[in-house]
Amino acid sequence: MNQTVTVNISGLVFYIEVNAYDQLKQYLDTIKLYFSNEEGQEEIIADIEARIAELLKEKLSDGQEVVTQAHVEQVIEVMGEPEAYIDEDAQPEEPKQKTKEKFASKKLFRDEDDNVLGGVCAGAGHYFGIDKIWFRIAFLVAFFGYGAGLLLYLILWIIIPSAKTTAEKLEMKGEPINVDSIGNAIKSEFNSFKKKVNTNEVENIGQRIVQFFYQIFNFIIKLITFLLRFIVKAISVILMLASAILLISLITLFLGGSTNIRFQNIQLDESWLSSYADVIFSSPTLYTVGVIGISLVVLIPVLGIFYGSIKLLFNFSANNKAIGLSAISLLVIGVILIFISATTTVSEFSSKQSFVKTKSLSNITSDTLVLSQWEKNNGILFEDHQFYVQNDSLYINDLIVDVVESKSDQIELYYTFSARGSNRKEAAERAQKVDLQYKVVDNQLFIKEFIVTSVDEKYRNQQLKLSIGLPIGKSIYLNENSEQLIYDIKNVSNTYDGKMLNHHWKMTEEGLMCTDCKWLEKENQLNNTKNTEDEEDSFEI
Amino acid sequence: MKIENTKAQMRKGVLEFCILSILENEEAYPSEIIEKLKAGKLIVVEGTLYPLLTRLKNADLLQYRWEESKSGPPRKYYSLTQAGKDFLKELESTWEELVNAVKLTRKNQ
Repeated sequence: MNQTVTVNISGLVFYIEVNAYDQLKQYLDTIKLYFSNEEGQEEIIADIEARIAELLKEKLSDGQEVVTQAHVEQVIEVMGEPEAYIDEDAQPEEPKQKTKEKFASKKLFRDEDDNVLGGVCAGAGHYFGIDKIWFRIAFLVAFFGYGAGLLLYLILWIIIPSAKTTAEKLEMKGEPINVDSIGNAIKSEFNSFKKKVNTNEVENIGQRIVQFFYQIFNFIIKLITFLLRFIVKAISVILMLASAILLISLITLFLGGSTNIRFQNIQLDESWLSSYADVIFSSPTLYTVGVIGISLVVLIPVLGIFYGSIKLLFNFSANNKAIGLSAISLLVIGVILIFISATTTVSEFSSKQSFVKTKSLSNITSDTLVLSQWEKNNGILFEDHQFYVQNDSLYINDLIVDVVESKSDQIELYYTFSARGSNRKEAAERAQKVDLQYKVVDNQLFIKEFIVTSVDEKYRNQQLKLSIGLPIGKSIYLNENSEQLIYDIKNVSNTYDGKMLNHHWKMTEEGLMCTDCKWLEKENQLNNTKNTEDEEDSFEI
Repeated sequence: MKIENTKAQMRKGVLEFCILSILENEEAYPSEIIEKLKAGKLIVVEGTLYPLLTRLKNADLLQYRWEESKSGPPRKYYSLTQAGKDFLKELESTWEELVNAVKLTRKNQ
């Protein structure tokens, strides 16, 4: 029993056995290849197909319905193998050279006749004209580098088509494209140009000059085309390598391994990802969904660049439609996953609530309070971070310190905590669970830059505005290192925060007043004289 | 130089001459031309003829018209153009010159 297919040859319908069809298709493909440089190629093929249809029709006239392999063989015998065309017809000088030129446009295929796995290495060997063993060794070596070789091999296996027909096999094994053949191509181009210039028997000088410049022009054009091609190939090599490296790093990163990618100050490693993820996402599932989404959205374009560059480099044809469609759908899925993860997370920030608390620092009896930053025991590591996790505590860098008039006769701290949550109640409860890290030593108040809460509370934009209440008559000294704490402290001289450091400020009825700012005294004197002048002026009017 | 090449080149020139001669007085479709060429043992396989016809047509020496066929796809009936007729005349005189030249040189030997 044999399977048959229906074919349309030159407008006639034939039932043809599958193996007979393969043979016929291979024959026609080979003919096409032989005439690929010929003007009127399509017409010749159409004529030959018409004749084949006619011959098949004749053979089937004795009641048979199906074209068999025997029929196809008879037809090919009548029409002749393409090699015979070359022998009988045209270009008797160096016929081999001619055929070689026709295969010069080489394509990358997998060689499944000579494979260990998918024939990728054998195909690459044909393409570059290098023994396949080198590619096999290279892949094997790369395999031990985190399995990158295997991944690359699988990708290549999927995207490179295998050479099935004779025509494809010929294209696969055509003249090797390497430095030698490129050099030879230029050399022969130059020689033929020189020969043409030297031996041209043109009647008059004018024509000869035109001819000469035409040849030079022609040569330059060919050289430029060659260079452009070379540049395109070079760019695609760079793109391919870059995207491959990025791809491998990203995959290991998303799979949770630690890689050494650095974006400016942020080091992307496992601890960074998981600690940040734990305090932002309300559940690990949401985090996983988000990571998968981001992986897809980041990986697919990189994969696309990788694929495109390989295609550009080896100029092979593959099923673009299927690949493109699946890439787009994966991208869409990625975007949807990110959207789900992001909207759920964002909704947990939707409501904001504050919590107010007062604390009296009755221990401090001195007239002057000194404000300093409590030295950071975590060193520089987390200095630039908005928050970090340590021992189940979440430390958040969102504190501002102000100085106001005390509501009693003691030094007091007025806290305003705020936090966000999916509803008002949740936000309010969360705000209550935030704490300030401070200590009092004699008349000194040390405050840490980071406020603290439990890691289970998650990061929900917890903030603290701390106002230090100072009774009238008492002073505060702002230490140099308190610069990162204080924010927009109101004072009578409108001095900005940075200039308030290293000075004593006394609380008066009017507000904070500097008691040891020499430059302020000068300014005051100036203002005073100015004021007197103003007053005099006003008297005159 | 290979003997095969010389033979092929000679045959190629003669082949064009013969195709044009076949079409001198009447139009014909490829299979008919092939029959006559095969009888003269000028070609062995049919595939050779089609590129040749297309080249002659592209050189404006031949023209064709379509005709329906009972035994298969429509056929191309080829005939000579005016340029083809002129070219054939030139070839005829060249041929005679060649035959004479060959005769003379071979007698002299």
